Amino acid sequence: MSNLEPEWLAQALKGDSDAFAQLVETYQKSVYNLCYRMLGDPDEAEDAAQETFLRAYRNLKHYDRQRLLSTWLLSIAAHYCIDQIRRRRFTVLSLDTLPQLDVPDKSLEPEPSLVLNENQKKVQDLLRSLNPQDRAAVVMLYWYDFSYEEIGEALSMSISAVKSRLHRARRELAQHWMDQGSPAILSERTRHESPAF
Amino acid sequence: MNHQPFENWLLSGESLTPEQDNVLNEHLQTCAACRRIESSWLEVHQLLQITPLSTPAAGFTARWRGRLTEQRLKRQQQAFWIILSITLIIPVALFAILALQVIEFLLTPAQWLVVWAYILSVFFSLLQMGREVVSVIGRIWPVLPLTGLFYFTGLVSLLMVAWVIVYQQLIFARRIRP
Repeated sequence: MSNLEPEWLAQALKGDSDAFAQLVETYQKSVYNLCYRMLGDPDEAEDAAQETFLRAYRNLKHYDRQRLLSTWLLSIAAHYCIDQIRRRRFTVLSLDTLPQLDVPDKSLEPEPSLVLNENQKKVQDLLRSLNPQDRAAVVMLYWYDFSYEEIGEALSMSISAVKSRLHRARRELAQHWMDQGSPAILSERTRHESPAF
Repeated sequence: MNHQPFENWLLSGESLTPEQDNVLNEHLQTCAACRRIESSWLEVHQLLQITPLSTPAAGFTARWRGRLTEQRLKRQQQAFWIILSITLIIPVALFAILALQVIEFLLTPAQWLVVWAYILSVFFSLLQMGREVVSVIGRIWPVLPLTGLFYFTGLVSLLMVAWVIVYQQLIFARRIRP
């Protein structure tokens, strides 16, 4: 969190979109990552992340300053993505719309980049096996180090519901991994940025 | 074989007491199913731990600004069309009503005049009634203390409610006995 964040917030509340753009710059990565983990497609994730920031800007006056801005933004993103997934169930998916891999990071060497993509694909396969709300809880726990309370707050559910969802999600992830024949993780890498904030 | 509470312990994500840990280890030595769950979950956990954040394509904030401008423009256009529709619909509707009145007048002028004379007389009598009620209240106002005014307002409300109830009862009675 930047020291200037309260000032940007105050300016944005007065309608200064440039000040809000600073907040977009700060939180774009974490919001995009959540959308990508939830939806599994870079284009859909981009749309969802953009929509999240537009909604946040429109509803900034409803933002409770007692809460962390990151939690509020991720809550908007998670709810939006859950709605998108539910809506998607009613549309017919063609093979062309299957989730794609991440665009390789050019700063990485070819081999580690390939390894990273393989692991990304495995992660997306695993996440896809979960229902949207369980998926959101897993993403918030493992990518953002959210506490159970924070997950509950972001997803509008009780702590016991969060625990039970996470328990069920872990069992499903382990089961899915076994069903896939426990594919090996290609390379052990230290986590790049953890937690996200 | 019963895999509880071992399966819960393996997947709870919470740290176990040393006793629970010992019991779990003993169980794992004899239970292949729980060992499979444990190793699968450890691998998944490791994979989740090492997977970095995905980043959006460069220029995300610029694209957001573009979308915001686009959205504002869209809303302005929507507002323009709404205002335009309202300003068109109201005169058209008024014109249509006027046209109907004129047609009605041309077809049956005598009947039309009688109906309008009746409407105007009802309107003026209601106006007169309202004026009388206001003048009565104006005369009572300085005489009544605050509590009296309170009771007076309560009484008027009660009478109005009673009137509505009686009216509904009469209407109902008429409906069931055509």
